[in-house]
Amino acid sequence: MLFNSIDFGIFLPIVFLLYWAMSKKVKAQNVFLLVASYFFYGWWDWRYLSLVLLCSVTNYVAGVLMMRVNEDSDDAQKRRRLILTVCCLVSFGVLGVFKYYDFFVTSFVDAFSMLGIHLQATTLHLILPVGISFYTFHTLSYTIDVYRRKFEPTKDIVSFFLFVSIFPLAMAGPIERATNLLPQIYKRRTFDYALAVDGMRQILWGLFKKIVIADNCATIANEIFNNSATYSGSTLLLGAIFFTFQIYGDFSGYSDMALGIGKLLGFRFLRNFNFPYFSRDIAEFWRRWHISLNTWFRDYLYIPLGGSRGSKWQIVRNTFIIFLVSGFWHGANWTFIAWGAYHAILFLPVILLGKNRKHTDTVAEGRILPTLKEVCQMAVTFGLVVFGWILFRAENITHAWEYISGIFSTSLFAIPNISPDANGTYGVAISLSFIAIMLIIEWLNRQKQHGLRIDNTNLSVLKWGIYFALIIIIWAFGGQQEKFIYFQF
Amino acid sequence: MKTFFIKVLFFTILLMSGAFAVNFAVDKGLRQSRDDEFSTWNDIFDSTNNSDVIILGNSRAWEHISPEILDSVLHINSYNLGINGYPFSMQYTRFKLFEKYNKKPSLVIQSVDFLKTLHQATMYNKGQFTPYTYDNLLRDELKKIGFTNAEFHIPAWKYLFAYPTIIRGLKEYQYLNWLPGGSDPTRYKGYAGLDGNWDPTEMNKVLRDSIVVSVNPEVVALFDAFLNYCKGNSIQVILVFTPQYIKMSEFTQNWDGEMRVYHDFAEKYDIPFLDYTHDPICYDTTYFFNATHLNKKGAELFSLQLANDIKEQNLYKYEDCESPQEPLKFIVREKLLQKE
Repeated sequence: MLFNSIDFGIFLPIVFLLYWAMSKKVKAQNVFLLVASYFFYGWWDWRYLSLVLLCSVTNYVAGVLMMRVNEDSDDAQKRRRLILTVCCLVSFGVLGVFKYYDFFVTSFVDAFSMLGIHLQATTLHLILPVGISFYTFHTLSYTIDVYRRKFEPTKDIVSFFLFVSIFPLAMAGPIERATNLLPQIYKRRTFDYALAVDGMRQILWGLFKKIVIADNCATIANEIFNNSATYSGSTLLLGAIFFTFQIYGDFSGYSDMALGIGKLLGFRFLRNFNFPYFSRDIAEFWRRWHISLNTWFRDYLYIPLGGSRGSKWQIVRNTFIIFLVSGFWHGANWTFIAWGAYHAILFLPVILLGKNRKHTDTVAEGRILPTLKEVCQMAVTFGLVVFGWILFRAENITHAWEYISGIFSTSLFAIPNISPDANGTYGVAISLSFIAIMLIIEWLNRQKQHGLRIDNTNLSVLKWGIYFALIIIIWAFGGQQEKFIYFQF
Repeated sequence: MKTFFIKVLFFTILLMSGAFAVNFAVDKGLRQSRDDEFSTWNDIFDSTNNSDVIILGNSRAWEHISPEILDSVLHINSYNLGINGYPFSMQYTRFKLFEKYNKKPSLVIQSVDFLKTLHQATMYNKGQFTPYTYDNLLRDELKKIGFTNAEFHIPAWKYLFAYPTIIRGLKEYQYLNWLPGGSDPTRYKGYAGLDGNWDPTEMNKVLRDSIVVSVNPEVVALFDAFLNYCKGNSIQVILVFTPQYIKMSEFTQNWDGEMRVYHDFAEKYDIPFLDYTHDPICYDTTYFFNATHLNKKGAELFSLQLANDIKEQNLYKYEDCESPQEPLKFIVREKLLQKE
């Protein structure tokens, strides 16, 4: 069930009404939300609910067992570590089998065949369960926090199972933390008018970004990437730019919808995007893009490795590890690893010079327009990010190399020309117009939680006019429904 | 909570009212359109089509057979119901809709290459159906190609993401026809000859991969039901395989098997089968714009040949038909070909 489907359009109002109808008892709210979440996930493929359950049971039991460890005993820490290790092995084991097994086997066979040794291997060709990377990380954050004694383990099985599977986050995050979400689940939610209205606005803005920006850009980007050999350098560059906006519209649109749905149900989920294409350097970009994953890696991998303390060699090593793992998290393909490595290379000078926290504020704060210097900084960062997305989108490393080589050919200065299959010039013009509208609106609201946070006017007519205009644009100019890119991760 | 519900309800009512209004205006506009497929659908649904002879098939029907030429030679009133890109099931639905809203035809000229046309219908040019989704007969067929119940029941949902169709419909609507643009009629009685020179792309693909025509039992059964219906209702049928570039036939792996199916139908129902796959036109690329489609020049030459053959072989026994125009002089086609 996709957020932008008619099924979900029926599901959400029913859940909303029933959920608030039982707002007097927190237990009833949680049980109902858990059932609704399992129904939502099972709608895609009920068999994979067993994996969600396995993940929930493993981490729940791990928490309870850690709680039962006698802290006064000599080997308490050892026993806690053992529980955490077993829990991680089960969680990463499931993820490894479903997501990475075929990749490792084929890479292993390929490596040996390069040495002249031809091995026979069996691949599993398993369907990747939607959201597996998200709920695995989501749940492990709880167990690791319990292990670190940052969070009291829960005995409330319903609350914990709801924490793992809560439906707005089930498919593609944001990757929540127990410290943020579980306390909200324990407490009875009461209806908050302002929060619900803001949630509705955020859902609408997410729909606009997904349906109008991402799905229209997808038509053009797919055409250019799938037929890259036939296009000029300038068209290839345009294709990469369209993919840059496709992935942003797709994933940040999804996150906006997830956060908006959470607000309708009285939850405040972690923010996942903070207008990343207005970043002035690559470090700022990574503080604004897929925030929940990056902070996860920061807290559970980078800092335990030593972070940016220690020798220069250790900083280089840690930076590479975190970016390579982050790339590999996205999928079992060398392109993702190359994408991670590319960003590590971009990040290194910033961190080695100690300038990774240079831009912690919002660009042009207190001003409408940026300075020329800021424009240049944003343009350079955006350009570097665009080239990274080529690695991310390409079918394989060869394709990525050919694509980038194609851009830097003599045809880079030719007029871009796109096949009519991708709606040609018309489609490009429409997509560019809506990208411009999105950028203007987001620029004006860059210090707020999301692009459609209209709280500086009390003019209801103006607000409703904006809502109707967005709905009409979505209705008339939406692209053909594409699945969310991040569902595959 | 109460305020929230009241506001959401009010917003929804406003939204639905707007959706009804837009749906009405776009539907109304498209029902007046003379653009492309809309002209044919509107001629069917307006119940003003009194043709005795109809031509059925896919793009190789509507681009190949000119009713104007048939009418002139045979003194009949014909109409081309060929539909682009859809399999026989949609062609049959169009035929049934024609019968439902107009008088029963006395002759059907059926272009047969339905085995080659996609068996599994896909949503091609979806917008052409949108103003007629109230019709149950059409709805049943549209469900097969992926229309959803939401598109039939929620106002304006069928126009979702279809801004070209929406703009076209609004431009044609009587109160908005001051907008720039409007109908660009390209078809006459359902037919449109396409100007264009030979494009070898399709042929090169065939030369590289060759074609395998699979006989789909469901399509064959439906075609059998159609012929049976025509026989039971005294509707004459002529099967025609319109010209295609000769190499297309040569590179079809089970060509004989495909043709056997059509011959078997002709035998079973004792109806004529006119096979033009080895006609002199088929050897000359100047009459084609691609391997399977004649250009305007080729189509008109072929239409003349077809009309002459029907006349010479006395294949249509017609009565009480009024010709809409003066007949063209009966022309011997070989002379025309020699001139070319």
